[in-house]
Amino acid sequence: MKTVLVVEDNMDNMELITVILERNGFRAITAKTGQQGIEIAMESQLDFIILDIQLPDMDGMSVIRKIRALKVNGDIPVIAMTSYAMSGDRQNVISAGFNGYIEKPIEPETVISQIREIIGE
Amino acid sequence: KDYAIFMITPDGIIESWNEGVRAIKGYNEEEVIGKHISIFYPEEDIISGKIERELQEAEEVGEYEDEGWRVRKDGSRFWANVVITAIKDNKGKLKGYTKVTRDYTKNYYDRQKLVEYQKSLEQANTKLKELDQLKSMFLASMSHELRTPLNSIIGFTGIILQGLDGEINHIQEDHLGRANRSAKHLLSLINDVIDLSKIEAGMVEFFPEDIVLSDVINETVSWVQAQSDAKGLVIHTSVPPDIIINTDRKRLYQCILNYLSNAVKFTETGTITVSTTNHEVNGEVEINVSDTGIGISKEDQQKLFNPFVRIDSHLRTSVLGTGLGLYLTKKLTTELLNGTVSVQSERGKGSTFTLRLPKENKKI
Repeated sequence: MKTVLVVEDNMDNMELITVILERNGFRAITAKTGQQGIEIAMESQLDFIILDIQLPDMDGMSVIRKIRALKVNGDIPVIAMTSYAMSGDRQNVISAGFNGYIEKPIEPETVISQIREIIGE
Repeated sequence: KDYAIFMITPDGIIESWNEGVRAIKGYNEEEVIGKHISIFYPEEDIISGKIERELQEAEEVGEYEDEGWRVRKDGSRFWANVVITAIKDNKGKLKGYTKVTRDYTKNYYDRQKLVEYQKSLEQANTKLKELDQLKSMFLASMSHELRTPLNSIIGFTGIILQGLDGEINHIQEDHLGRANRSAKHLLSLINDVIDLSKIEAGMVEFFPEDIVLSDVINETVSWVQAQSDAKGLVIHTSVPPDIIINTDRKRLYQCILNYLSNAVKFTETGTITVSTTNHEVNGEVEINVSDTGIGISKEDQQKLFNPFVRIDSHLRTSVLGTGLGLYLTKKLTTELLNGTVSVQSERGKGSTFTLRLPKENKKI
């Protein structure tokens, strides 16, 4: 069973994504802020990360920079959650070090296959 | 009477008089003959030596034309238009000047008013632009706020519908399905309105990249496949895999998808065909979406690409739409993608919608 860290500040979105993940056989650890997310990434056994790029405390781009700099979990897949992605987001997101992105609003029907594709399952 | 004309000696002494001098400046003949023209000038011009400069320039250049304040006999000022012409003998020696003065006071004040109007128009314009910008910024930030709750509605009804929260009965499935579809419809309305206001405000981002056209077309087809299958329609594509177009992928996808989903919506039976025509000569490619649907009358074709237009037909109530799709497609195509939109159709005989785009983007 794969373990995923989900970093998202909106509680509804958090519930949504974790329910979908758990019902599909993933184990989800949650964080409400970028800082919390980084702390968890420093010490936990993770297979991949899903990161909202609009967090209240830190810009998603800074969060991924810090994660990529970690010795532990520094190179696991990180997926961005973007809001109605602008075309530019795709390039920004890839060049910032994300492995891919999923757009909000999340589509329960397709989000799991989107995620599996990005993490290479 | 409209022109004060007089002859002046090289030293500036007035030698002649006409009716205009009385009418414009208020002086009789005997009051000006033998006097220096400085009697007509305001104090500041006399002190600054302006008169001498005017006469000098008239002599050197041949003519001097200017506008300025002059003083009437009663001390009041008027705005004059003045032409001083130098008179020289055939050896080029200065013999004197003629001076023609017109009362341009009304003209002067009219011009002042015009300048003021212009200023207030500019101010109003700036204010309008500011308000427009504010509106767009408001909408852009609202867009996040508007979409977030929808995310929840679409997401949670979707989860339940998928059975992820446990089994649901048919009625629950039906009712939740309606809520889910309404929420998705609302989302597309919000997206369209926000897109439009971004376009109006010139705030739409354009990120061109090299795109394999057939890939994008295939993506749009997959998107509508389920709907089209449900109606028993067939979608053909005839797109060579080697056409590359440099443009914004998301917006290209959006426009093609709009045409395709309209085709599916307005076709009850038959086929939808997506094809392309490569115009090598002028570097353009045409994307055509044809259907065997209900078609559009010549009359309706005129207003088809306008906002909030829903063409009347027996399908009207069963077809969900925002009324903004084609308008948005047209705006995006013409203002962002540098292309054109067009339609060919006949009521009852189907339609072909066309997007014509340059393959290379030379946007600054």
